[in-house]
Amino acid sequence: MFPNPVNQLSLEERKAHAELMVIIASIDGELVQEELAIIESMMGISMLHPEMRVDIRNMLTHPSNFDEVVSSLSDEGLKIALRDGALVAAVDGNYDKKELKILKSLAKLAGIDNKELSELFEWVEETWKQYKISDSILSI
Amino acid sequence: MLPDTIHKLSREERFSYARLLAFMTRVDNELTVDEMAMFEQRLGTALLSPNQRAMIREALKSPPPLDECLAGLSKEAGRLALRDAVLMAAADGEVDDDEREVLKEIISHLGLAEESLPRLLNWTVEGYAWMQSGYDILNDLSE
Repeated sequence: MFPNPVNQLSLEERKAHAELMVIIASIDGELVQEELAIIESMMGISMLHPEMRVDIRNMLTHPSNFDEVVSSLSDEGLKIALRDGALVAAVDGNYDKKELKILKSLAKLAGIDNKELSELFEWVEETWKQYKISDSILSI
Repeated sequence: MLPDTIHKLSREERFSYARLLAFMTRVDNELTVDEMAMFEQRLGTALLSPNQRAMIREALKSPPPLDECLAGLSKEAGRLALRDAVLMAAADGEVDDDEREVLKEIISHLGLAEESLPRLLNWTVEGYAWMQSGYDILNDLSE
């Protein structure tokens, strides 16, 4: 995955961002390895302290409360979380109803309407395609 | 659907992959925040064990020789490591001559065409711009 401005957020916001990714990943029930990998990847790029990452991993089975978590995010933090949340939700292959519902709630808080959210989903799809181009370069 | 397959490699290969990236961080003798963030991101994707992560962070201080890093990589792991080594090298905004030389060595070791480097660099530049565009969408739309 490519660079991400999440590591420019405050420590509190980066933790909230990671908690939100866990909430989104776990909302459809079972957590798959791809979801774990992308959460670890996002905790990595946000440069969370290792002990904080342990706290986040412990939340995988008991995610935080959505309303409490989003209340500690700034406008910029909400937008970054929406973008990354869309990536996390798509990582297991599709967006299910619960994932769409929580992303819409997040979008509303970030000031993004449904039409604009669709544009973001298209961006996610294109991002996956961009990434796959490297496989063809390397013949993987 | 995750466009990455690092987590599907064997644990030993993921460790070797991470050691190569640790080596890359030290090539230009400076470790910027952007490089560190990219390194930590890749380490996260590799789903290493806590012990392996600790060993890799040690490798940041005194990286193993390049030959040693390359020795533990299969064909697929080597190619993925090359791709991410290019991402690492470009993370601070430019790929300097020393980094280019190391990337060429890796390409040679893997038996890939010389044109792999410019193609991967081009892909990286496009990828960075694309990722930024995702954030720009959210900023533009809310104005």
